[in-house]
Amino acid sequence: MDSDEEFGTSLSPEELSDDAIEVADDASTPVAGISNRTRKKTVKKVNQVELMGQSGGYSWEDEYRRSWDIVQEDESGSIESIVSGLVEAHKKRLLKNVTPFQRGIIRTLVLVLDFSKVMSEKDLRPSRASLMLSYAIDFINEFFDQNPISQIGVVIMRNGLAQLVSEVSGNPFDHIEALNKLKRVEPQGDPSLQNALEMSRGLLMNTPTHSTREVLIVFGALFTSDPGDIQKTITHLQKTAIRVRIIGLTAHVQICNEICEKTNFGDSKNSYWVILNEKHFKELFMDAVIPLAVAKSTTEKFTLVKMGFPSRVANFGTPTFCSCHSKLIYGGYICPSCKANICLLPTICPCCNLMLILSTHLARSYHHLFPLKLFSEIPVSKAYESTNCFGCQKSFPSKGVNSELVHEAEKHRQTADFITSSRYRCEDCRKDFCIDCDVFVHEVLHNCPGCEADNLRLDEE
Amino acid sequence: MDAIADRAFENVPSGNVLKEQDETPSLLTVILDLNPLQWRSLKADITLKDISKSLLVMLNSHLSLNSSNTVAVLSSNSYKSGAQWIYPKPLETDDTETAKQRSHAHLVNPTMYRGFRIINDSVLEEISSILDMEPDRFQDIGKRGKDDSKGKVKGTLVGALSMALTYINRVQNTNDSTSIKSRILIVSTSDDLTLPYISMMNCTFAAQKMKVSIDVCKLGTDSTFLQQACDSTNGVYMYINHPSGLIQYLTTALFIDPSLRPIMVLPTNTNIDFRASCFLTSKIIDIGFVCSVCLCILSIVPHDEKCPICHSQFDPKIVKTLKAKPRTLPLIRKKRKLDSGAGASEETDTSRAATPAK
Ligand SMILES: [Zn+2]
Ligand SMILES: [Zn+2]
Ligand SMILES: [Zn+2]
Ligand SMILES: [Zn+2]
Ligand SMILES: [Zn+2]
Repeated sequence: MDSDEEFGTSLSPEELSDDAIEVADDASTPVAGISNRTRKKTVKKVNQVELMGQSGGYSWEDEYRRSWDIVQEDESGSIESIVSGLVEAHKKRLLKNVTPFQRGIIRTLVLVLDFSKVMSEKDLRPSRASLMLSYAIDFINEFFDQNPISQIGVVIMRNGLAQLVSEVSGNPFDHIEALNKLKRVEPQGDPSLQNALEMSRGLLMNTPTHSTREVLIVFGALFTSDPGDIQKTITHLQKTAIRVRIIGLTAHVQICNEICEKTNFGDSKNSYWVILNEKHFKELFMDAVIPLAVAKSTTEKFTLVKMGFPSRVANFGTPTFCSCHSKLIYGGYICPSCKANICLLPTICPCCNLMLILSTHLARSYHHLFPLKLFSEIPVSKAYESTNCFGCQKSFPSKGVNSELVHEAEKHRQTADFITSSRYRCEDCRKDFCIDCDVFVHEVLHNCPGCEADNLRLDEE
Repeated sequence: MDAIADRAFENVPSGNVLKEQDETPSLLTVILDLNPLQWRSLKADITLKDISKSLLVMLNSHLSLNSSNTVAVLSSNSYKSGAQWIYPKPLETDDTETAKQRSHAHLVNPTMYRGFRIINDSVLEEISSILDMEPDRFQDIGKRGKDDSKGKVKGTLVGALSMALTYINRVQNTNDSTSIKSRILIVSTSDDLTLPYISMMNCTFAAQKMKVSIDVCKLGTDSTFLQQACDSTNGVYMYINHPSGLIQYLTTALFIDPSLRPIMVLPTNTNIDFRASCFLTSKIIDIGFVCSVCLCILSIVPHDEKCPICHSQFDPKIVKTLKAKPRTLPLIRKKRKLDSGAGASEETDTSRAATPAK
């Protein structure tokens, strides 16, 4: 049975221009803390007026503006401040919603990749399939980096069948090896969502209750050729509390929307996306690295998980076989309950089934639970308190902006957007940072250097 | 031990290591712990003057290895303005600056090679100006009515480390044409209690991602957190037994470039304590319970069956199975009763782990 009801491309012209994408993103309210938005939007409220161009019509009705029209000299004849503003505006800053959520940190995810004939198309460079594979490898690396105590399995849809590429496991190397082998496989035949979902359901069936059950599908086709009734599969998925997310590569497909909506408690906005370009594809893929917020509607019970924290022995003197791979190793980790010798953590002890981790593995996930507050952009003014970025010591454009220039710039709406103070302030420690540090601190470091460098804060608490 | 090494460093090509090493410039960032109380307790073994001398020798030799090598120095301090930059310092058009320069001019030989002199000058200047301000700060804290007895003194090492990482991030991103290697050396005297655990771990993971090794030269008390940081970033952790010979440590083991480390035998210790401590009782445990929501580590099942950190209610069914004592076959029990000694001790052992404290 073919369920190939498809919507045509539902992209309106505004979504085709780069600027307008941000607007569209923001219009949808951030739900469940996983929606991303740009800094610009946190500062300036988007309303209907912003959607309009200068002439009062929609922005796509405007005359095309060349970037050199935007650049105007300031009173001293320098264009430096505008140019740096332009550069900053281009550093699109994806920021997470910082409200702490209960998230399912221990995850089990099945990655389903479309390997049907449409994937050999070359609208994504070099081809859909190879781009998908290289992003999938990045995804797996990033996933295990941030979710070290989670597990992944990989399934492909090819020739109307679902094929298991890599068993559900917590070892990224196995998956990456399997994905690398896939590079030599030609995409073929039709995809079958039902088969893939049923296989994923089988894989996720036996996961412990404390783990989330997730399926992430990359779907290139516009139809699915299924052996039976996909609606039944959807009901089964709902029963087993599996949450399905889909990244579409071409256009909205109604059945995908339905699957996502039904398995995510009616919320298909944050679970079904269609890519706009390569960069957007990557972003969507990377979004799935962040653990899902625990849905409030579920009656899910939280649990305690028994875990072992093995100690490491550097060398026993003679090499011994590890109990997980029967490999000869010098030293290793000793399971605290059965004293088996393990070579790689985190893992589940092959002898006594105890989950073995290092406390550092848990620490990797803490930033999901205690996210760093967003910095706020300092409004443009004549003079600033700070001269250098507190983190990297880069000097800020020192000159305050003359109010006349701001006034002048406001006439050309777009120019005004590009005049910035280049300073982003942490509200807690009141230290200023440059845009690069802001991005770095929120995406990689997850610490505010200012707050940590301040010695009196702990006393005051 | 390769199998246990962290994966971030595993795919370092080992075959042509030597060829690649020679020309890549490297950035050495030194974080110096200037906590006055700690230095006071070390007074008998080493003074700040000694260590700044040794550090300068190390910095200078790093600079002389390659003409494009650079250094950066930060200080962390619990009393003055916390963590701060020593070198490179933002340009200040301050009159006091020149005055300071004059007062310490005699510390550095004016005929020294310029590259060395600039660094030596500014490092010594900054250190002494920090120390000059120290008494004021003590008074300041006193005035505010906050003293050590009241709040735990927060170490700012993590702040300095965060700043160093943002700086390295900037250097790595601006020099995209010529790649630059970076590493961090921490000279630490403070103990673990002053380190915020989560922030320290965040720094470690960021460093790991950026492939920046963190080396630690530890004086005073041993530190588990810093050992873990070194271990996961392929760094060298050295506990200094003889502080008077510090220069020896700095210019040998702590001087080896991270890319050469796979082919060197390093004096780093590999027995690192990875056991966790319970969030409630701070007992060190090797088997514990982890809340699936907030990942806090507990040594016991809390008696209200609620997570003490995030207040999630646990599923009573699962708690029941966790609390359950291991089932033993009645036949064995009968046997055990005969020799009561061994059987009883074993049973209390298992029940202790599973029953909640009152
Ligand atoms: Zn093994
Ligand atoms: Zn075991
Ligand atoms: Zn900066
Ligand atoms: Zn802050
Ligand atoms: Zn909890």
